[in-house]
Amino acid sequence: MSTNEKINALNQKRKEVMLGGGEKAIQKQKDSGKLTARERIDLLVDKGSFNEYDLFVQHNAKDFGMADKVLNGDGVIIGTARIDNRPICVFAQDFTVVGGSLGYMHAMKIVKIQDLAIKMRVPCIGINDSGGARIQEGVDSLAGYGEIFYRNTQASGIIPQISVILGPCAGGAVYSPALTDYVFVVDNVSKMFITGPEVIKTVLGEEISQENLGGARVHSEITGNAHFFAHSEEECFLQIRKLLSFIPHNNKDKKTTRELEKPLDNIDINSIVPLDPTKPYDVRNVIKAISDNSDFIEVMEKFAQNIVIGFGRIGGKSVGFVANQALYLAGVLDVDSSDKAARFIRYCNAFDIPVVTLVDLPGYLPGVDQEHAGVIRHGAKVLYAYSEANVPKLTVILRKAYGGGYIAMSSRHLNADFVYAWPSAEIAVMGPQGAANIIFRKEIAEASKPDEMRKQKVEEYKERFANPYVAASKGYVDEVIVPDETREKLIHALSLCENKTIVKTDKKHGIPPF
Amino acid sequence: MEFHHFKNNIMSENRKLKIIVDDVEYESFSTPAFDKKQKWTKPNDKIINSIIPGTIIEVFVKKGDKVKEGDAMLIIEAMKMNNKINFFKDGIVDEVLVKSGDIVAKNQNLIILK
Repeated sequence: MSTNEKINALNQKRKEVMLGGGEKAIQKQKDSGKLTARERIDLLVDKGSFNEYDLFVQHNAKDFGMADKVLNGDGVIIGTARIDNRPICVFAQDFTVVGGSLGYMHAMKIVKIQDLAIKMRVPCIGINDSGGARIQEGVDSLAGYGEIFYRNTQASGIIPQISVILGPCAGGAVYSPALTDYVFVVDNVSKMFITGPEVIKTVLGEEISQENLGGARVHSEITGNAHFFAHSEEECFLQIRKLLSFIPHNNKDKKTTRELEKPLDNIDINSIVPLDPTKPYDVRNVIKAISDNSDFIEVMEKFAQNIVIGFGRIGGKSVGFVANQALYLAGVLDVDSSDKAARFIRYCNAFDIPVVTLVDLPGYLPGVDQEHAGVIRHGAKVLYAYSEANVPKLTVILRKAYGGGYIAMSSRHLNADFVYAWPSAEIAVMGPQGAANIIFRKEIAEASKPDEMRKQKVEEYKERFANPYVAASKGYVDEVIVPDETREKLIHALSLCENKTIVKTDKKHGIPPF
Repeated sequence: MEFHHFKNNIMSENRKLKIIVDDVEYESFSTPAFDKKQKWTKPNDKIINSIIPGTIIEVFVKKGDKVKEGDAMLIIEAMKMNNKINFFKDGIVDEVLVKSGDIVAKNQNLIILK
């Protein structure tokens, strides 16, 4: 064989393997409204930057007639590439090859790219599109999942791990995405569940569609398993790109800083928050008003909307925002919003992203369902996460900061570095009505006109305590500021935090309430 | 690059929600998870419900039986297991609503005590 013939043979071999499950299967994939694994990688990464490894890996299963079966790439594509000219590791399961089912060598390919990502300290992006374990390979496929989960956990907090669900992701397979930092789903494409509709029907007699059981909307709105929701695969890839532009690519990466850009000047920050504490508004407008270029990427936009989390830049530096959202459920802390905020704060802490907290909440959501759902232990996560975090913690109290909610939302007492309050802030042990009803119970009950007395006492309480100055007089608030000073104050505070010292202890790790 | 993030700010009236915290009524809007929440009702310990969906294999009691806490009530097959369910309190069986072979849903009434 001449060199040329050898080169031709290689090219021929490549061509065959890269066809995955063959043209028929590819057509079927397209008919079901999905892109192929290769198309997905091409769309996700910088043009022409993909390098594929383990193209010729084959399974070594023998049982159930597997010995004669050739499965191209063993149903998964792995490699490295660049996104915005920065290196990343990626794998994409190929549904056209026996339904993207996970056998041992398939898993070992994923493990290889995970190990590489950890070693090279680059983000790892996994595109999931698989029917689940390859049953013919028995316990070997379980071993494969286990090895992947182990590396997900080892990589956690060192490199960003992103899971993209572009097809079914069922049974044990769901736990790799669940262990990663961000799960991206696409409407009508993503399906995630432990047990599918068929099993549920036979065992439980409950009939439900895949979409209603574990579709993109379910995981974005109800379960909180997904962090980003897109209407198309293309939109999903743009979201990943945008996210990667805000977050560090490993826990020592300092390259997130960009040139300072001013916020768009069409937002009047002084007039966003209504003075009446019972009126709603969209806190994302405050975030936009203080962020560079008013650019903000929201995480878990549709889940527990009573708290807003996401990334923006202030003075060129990436920050994580945590903000009570008065627009939904009055911005209360509840089981879901606590869980959502706490995990995000821990993410920011792991990757050294300063946390900016915008406070406006009446407290915790009352109700039997909340108590029984464990609002005590879930609520404790917020306290734990803020207290534990040693990244710069900047707090701006916009309006209400009552009771336990005030303490939890990155208060001075949980070691916030800088606490600012707007003149509209009401920092008090509870809302004026509740407080007056308790403190002046006797006066109100004994008054000839109790309702008038109550009104008067509420007004008195409001006058004296529903303001930022009581807390400021004790040093719990560092500065009372005009809303339009907020951005400059935060830029200054961030620059001061640049060399924030962290006292290291010999504690191995704490025991957060989860 | 603008995603759909800020495009859904127009809230529909039917999702309006009053939230009361510490005697104050706040104007706000509901969330999908909040909509799904079920109102709590006081449990009735005279009615014994299935805690799990499954198939009834055997019922050990009939109407009028005097039962003691710990007495065998029935066997339900669920999750590939035959689960023996015992009475958790003393009482007299008023009604037996299932028989062997029945497929029961979660929370379905099985037995009513007097």
